[in-house]
Amino acid sequence: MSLSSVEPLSFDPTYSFESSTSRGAPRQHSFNPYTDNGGTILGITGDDFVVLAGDTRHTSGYNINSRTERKVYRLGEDNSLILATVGFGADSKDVAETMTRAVNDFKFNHNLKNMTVNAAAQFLFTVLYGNRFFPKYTHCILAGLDKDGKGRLYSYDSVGSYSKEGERRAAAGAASSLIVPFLDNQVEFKNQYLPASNGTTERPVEDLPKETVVKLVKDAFTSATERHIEVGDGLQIITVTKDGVFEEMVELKKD
Amino acid sequence: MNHLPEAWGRPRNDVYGSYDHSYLQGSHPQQHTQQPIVTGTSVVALKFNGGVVIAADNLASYGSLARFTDVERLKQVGTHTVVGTGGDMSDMQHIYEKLLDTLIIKEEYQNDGHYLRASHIYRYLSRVLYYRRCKFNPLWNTILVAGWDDGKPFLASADLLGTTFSSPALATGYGAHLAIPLLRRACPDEAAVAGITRERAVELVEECMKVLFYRDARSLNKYSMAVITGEGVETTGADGEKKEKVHVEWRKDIELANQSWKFAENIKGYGAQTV
Amino acid sequence: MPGFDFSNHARNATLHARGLPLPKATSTGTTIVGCIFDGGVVIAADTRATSGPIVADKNCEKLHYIAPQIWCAGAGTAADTEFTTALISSSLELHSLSTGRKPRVVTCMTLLKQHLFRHQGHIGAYLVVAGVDPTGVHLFTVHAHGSTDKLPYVTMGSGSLAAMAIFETKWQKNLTREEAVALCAEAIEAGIFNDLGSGSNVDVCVIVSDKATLMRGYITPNERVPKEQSYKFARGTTAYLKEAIIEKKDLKKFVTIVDLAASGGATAGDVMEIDA
Repeated sequence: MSLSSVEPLSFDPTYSFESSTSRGAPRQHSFNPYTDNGGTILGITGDDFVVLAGDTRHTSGYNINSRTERKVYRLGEDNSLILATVGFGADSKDVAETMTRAVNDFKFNHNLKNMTVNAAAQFLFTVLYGNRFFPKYTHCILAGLDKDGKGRLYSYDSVGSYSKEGERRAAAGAASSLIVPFLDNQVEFKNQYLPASNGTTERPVEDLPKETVVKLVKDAFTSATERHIEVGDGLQIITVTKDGVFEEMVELKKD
Repeated sequence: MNHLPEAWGRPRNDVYGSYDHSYLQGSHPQQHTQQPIVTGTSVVALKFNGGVVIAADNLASYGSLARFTDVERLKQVGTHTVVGTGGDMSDMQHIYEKLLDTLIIKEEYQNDGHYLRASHIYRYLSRVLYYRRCKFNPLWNTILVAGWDDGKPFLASADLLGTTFSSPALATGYGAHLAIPLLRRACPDEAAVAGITRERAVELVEECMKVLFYRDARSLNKYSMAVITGEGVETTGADGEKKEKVHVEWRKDIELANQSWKFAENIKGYGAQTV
Repeated sequence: MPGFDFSNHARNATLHARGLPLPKATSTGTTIVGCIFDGGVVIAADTRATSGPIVADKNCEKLHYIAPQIWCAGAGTAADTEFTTALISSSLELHSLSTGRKPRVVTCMTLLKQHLFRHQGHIGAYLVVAGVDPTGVHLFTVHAHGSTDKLPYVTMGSGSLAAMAIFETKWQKNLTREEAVALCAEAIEAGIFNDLGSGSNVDVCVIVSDKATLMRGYITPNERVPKEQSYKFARGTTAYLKEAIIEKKDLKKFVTIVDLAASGGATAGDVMEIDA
């Protein structure tokens, strides 16, 4: 069994003159190339800033692999681009690495000009869709400041679908189903009416101040930690403003 | 002449007939490792102030048969690193002998004063593992990389899917269930590493190997341990003297000591029996 | 007809075969332990109940009463552990009444294993049975298929390996009551912090010859931090279709009103968390 499964060294059916037909024959595997490493990410934009956050727990089944594995990455040292990835850990890190390298290469190929956030967003789409038939099992949220200094946020499914207009808020990962309704209500003011209007006028959506956004992020994660077993340990919050990129680490419950 | 370089100097089909591949592999599909065959169990490792300790037992199991009892699953790679492997033993030997030995030899050919540190070895191994899983042809292992890197202890894990993570206390296989709770109690986070001495770290890992022998049916009471200690970072002084000092100390064929079976003395039966 | 009702079995089997998923039961992906000491026995449990990856109850009780000096820690399907322990508690009480003797732990264990074996593992109850009776101090585990174990220290549930690692390093013969309680609590904490199926608090029950002491919330290492801000909505935020104001004097038409002593503080059970 073990011997016959070893691939002969440098054996290639097309090596001699005619090609063999054994290539492309059906293959049967019991190997599952995917797993889920838990965790949750979340992003909210304001007028001139954007916040991305993720917990730092890395899991396998009922085990905690690490309490300090970060999910939010800076795509370069001197730009405003940040990316959060969640899902299958290996694919997530691979996508983050591909993006970091692409953003870096772009700079040296374009006279030290940084990639814009909308260009990075479109590139991430091509990276993810490029793996359409062996998808990267990862959910991404990309953020940064645009040319006018406005906060931009894009969220993707595992094969690249995203909205070019960007979004005001996004959440992905294990506890996204817990956090999204909270964000709908607290950021988009869904199901809220102006108190004086007697239920006739919806509360208008407005940009939130940075302090409020950070409070919402912390409450979203402490609440998700209470009710989802794969969320906890630590919280990484990255804020991008015109003054730079700032990281804050907060402790979460470890049970 | 055929324009394909790989065909040059080969017997021509029109003269000799086409090459008979049948002895190599028939028309059946190409098979990859779908399950591990001869396997190694846990690897346990812990950081301390000034280094890392890593241990793995010497058993290679064939299913539930304790097949080989003298297998070394730890390997020193270069000067700064020790890797420990669980999972399929033939894949482990491929990694050690075909990949890592070649890697180190190629690095030493350069003779440029640069050497591969623990993080480099780890990066290499995790990319190989991820690449192989993407080819649907995984190397069926979980690997811990321990060493000295950039003036700090280094410890990280990579598995057959290319999943990677790092923590001051790591263990693979059953160790993830039995050893990690013990190690984390002593070393809950990176800050706690400073408070752990080398002696304490060795003691803790010895304790873990004992618990694993008690409770993991695929383990052995004989194991190897490596202690990597270091000082300073990779810089060269004005006199050309290396400022970094890394030392790897090996202990092999350790017999499990101080086992306790006291609990068994008064047990009679499993239920209502009293005699 | 006593016992389970199987009348929907054929229908459910057909629906399941056609792809209807089985309903998800609340399980106590759990850490439970037990340990004998000189003169008694301790059992302990965490307090997290899960439904898949969601925490269904943050402070559930996994230590079940069987008899005054027999208690049981349960892991597995929550309903099965609760119902099975209640059922056996009832039989044991009747047995005790008819024999005129104190119930024995072996009797409890035997009733449990016979009940569980009869149902061939379909009752997902994994139990640690502990108690003191006229024949001495006893500690057993009972698996869902009906097998039992008799050991001086035991663990069960998804956190059993984490807890057992603690016992295997720190257990010794002839523990005192305090040492046994501390050891069990530490084993549960290992489960709480290393096993995702276990969490929240440590409950402990100590049983000695004359009494059993249940210490609910013996350790509470996972208190929630206060929220960053209040989420109280301005009155009128929610739309309503119709408004009707009922005065207190008119309320008697709809409900019976009983005035309670205005204590404000201690009420039975947990107090619901309300935003300021």
